[in-house]
Amino acid sequence: MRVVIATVQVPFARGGAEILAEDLHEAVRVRGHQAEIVNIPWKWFPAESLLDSMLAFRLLDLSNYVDGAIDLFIGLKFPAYLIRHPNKVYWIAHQHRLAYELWDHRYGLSHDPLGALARDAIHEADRTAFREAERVYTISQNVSDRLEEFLGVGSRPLYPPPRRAGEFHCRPPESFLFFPSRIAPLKRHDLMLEALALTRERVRVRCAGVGDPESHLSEMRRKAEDLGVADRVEWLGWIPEAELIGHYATALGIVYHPFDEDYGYVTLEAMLASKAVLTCSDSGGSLEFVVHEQTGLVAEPTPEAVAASMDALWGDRELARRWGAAGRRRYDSLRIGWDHILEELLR
Amino acid sequence: MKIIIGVAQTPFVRQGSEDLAELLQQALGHFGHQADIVRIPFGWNPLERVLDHVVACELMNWHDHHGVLGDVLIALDFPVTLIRHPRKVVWLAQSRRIPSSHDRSPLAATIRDACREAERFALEEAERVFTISTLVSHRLRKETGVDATPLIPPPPRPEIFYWDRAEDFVLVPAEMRPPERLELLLRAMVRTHERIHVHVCGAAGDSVLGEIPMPEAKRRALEERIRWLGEVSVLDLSHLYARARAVLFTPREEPGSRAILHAMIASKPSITCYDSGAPAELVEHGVTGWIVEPDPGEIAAVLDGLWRDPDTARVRGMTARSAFEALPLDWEHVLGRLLGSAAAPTPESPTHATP
Repeated sequence: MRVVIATVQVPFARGGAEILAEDLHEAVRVRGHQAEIVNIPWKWFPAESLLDSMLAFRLLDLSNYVDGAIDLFIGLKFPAYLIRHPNKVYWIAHQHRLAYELWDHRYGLSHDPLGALARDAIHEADRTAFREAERVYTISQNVSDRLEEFLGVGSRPLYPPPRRAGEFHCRPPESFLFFPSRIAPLKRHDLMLEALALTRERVRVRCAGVGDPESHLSEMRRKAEDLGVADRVEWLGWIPEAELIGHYATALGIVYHPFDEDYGYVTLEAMLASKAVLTCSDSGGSLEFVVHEQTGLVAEPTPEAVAASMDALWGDRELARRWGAAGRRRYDSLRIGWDHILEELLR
Repeated sequence: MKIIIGVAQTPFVRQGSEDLAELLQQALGHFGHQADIVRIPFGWNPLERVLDHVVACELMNWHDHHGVLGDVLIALDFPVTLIRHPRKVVWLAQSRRIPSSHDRSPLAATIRDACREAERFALEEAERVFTISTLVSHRLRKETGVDATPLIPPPPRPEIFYWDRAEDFVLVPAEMRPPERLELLLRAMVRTHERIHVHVCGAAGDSVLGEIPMPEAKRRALEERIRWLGEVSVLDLSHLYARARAVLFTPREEPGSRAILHAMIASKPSITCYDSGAPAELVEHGVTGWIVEPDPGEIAAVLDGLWRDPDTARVRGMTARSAFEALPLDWEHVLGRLLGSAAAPTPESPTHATP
């Protein structure tokens, strides 16, 4: 089969969306099909530009090229999924949020004179696009719920597996909690540090990741000093994948409480490594996977609550082990794997 | 600077401009810029869709992009040239058009006219317009009236090409388009008096031999003198060039120069045809090689000459090397032309990618 994977990009930025497209591309090819990524940059501001862009994508047609048909079109993002093709499926991470739940946000469309027009056009285009698709998938139940709520569109979550999923493993735990993530404001390392200052136990946390920006990492280090917890925090910086996997394996548990994340690769990696996850009630994607008091703890995003969850795990290793094992079983039950994903997409 | 390199993308078909885009990206990185390659789907087939894709590109307005869409856009292909950008530089890698021989329908004529107008307008918006060879410049002027300076891209990995003592073969270093040009060579080989050997790189051409009617004995004898090498890595290619007696590259209207440039670097003479395009712009007949009519007899005569008079071949090869050194053909020069004088800061020493 010839498969086109269509997405949009912001040049020079590389994130989860690019990785997903590449992983999907590889997975399709490994199974003997031909696949190609179509990844087009666009300018979505101001609203006038957004409308022009939508029309531009609508004018593109990938039904066939040169010497034959393209059999399947997999659309990963708005407005890439507006491109025409007779056999489309979508696998989306989120809609164009500035026209939906972020309408009133600082960068939302509500502030643009043509914003309402653009928003209505996007809603209409999305409705059309979803009708055109053979099937619509999302990367999380969260996103499926939003599609249902805003557009009455039914969709099924298909969870992308983390890279190198097969390499994660579990070993007898040492005395540290692992917090793998870029040191960025939305990841809330400050919350972790404030919690650490309130724990009863002598909890230790190991952090791996670069500062994003660098200044934020410096700020967090200073904060640790000011709170008097610097001797209980390790800042590993960037480490290679193999080392990362090693820390997951020997951690007592994983701390991961970002603010409203799309997905939750860290959560999945923790589950693969059979480790309990400590997250927060507003963390977004991870909530789809963590089951409170079964595979980890979901705490209010306050230093007191987070401290209590850290103490709970630190004080009871058997509990940590049990919840970790349950996490692994939950991962396995969710059919998170490329075989299942391609079975659905390529149907 | 952040630079976007734009190419057209025909799904499942690798473009020549893609190779150039990658080389350009590497060179820009070496000189301290950040470069990303951007691909816009486009094809001339089916004809009905061409105008839609052209309009789509015209609707892509990348002005006032707040730093998101690159400081400069270097467009290598139509219709990426149509995208609006405050700093657009064009370096046309090919002048693809609806082959007029293939479609004389009213629709084709309409599309040709529309594309011509669109391109003329878009090129006026560009800061600077270049092409990769005189051939492409001529075509562009003929189609749109726009004048564009040829700016030859440096070939890939020039530093690994070298001279060695010639062995008994002529090298065809890449696929020659159209396929009839390979057949031309085979017909020439049938006519040579000497036992000429050739090594042929590129996608399997042995099927072409099968299609030429000739007695079986003759075909088998000919097959013994040909080695079909398929796709060859650039490293292996450098060794082949080093040991060849000469390089033969006789496509029709080829826009790219690398096959001949590599020959010049390796101090080897080249054989090409008057209508070969960029190769014919680089070879100097009687000085650095031979330029002949696309005729089996003429090609055969040159091949025989290589065997009978190896000294001449050697001398022309050396002269080709001197000619190469006289060209201003390095990335510093090219980037300077593309980006204007502020373009090329001192190259950075190789750094490892920061995670």
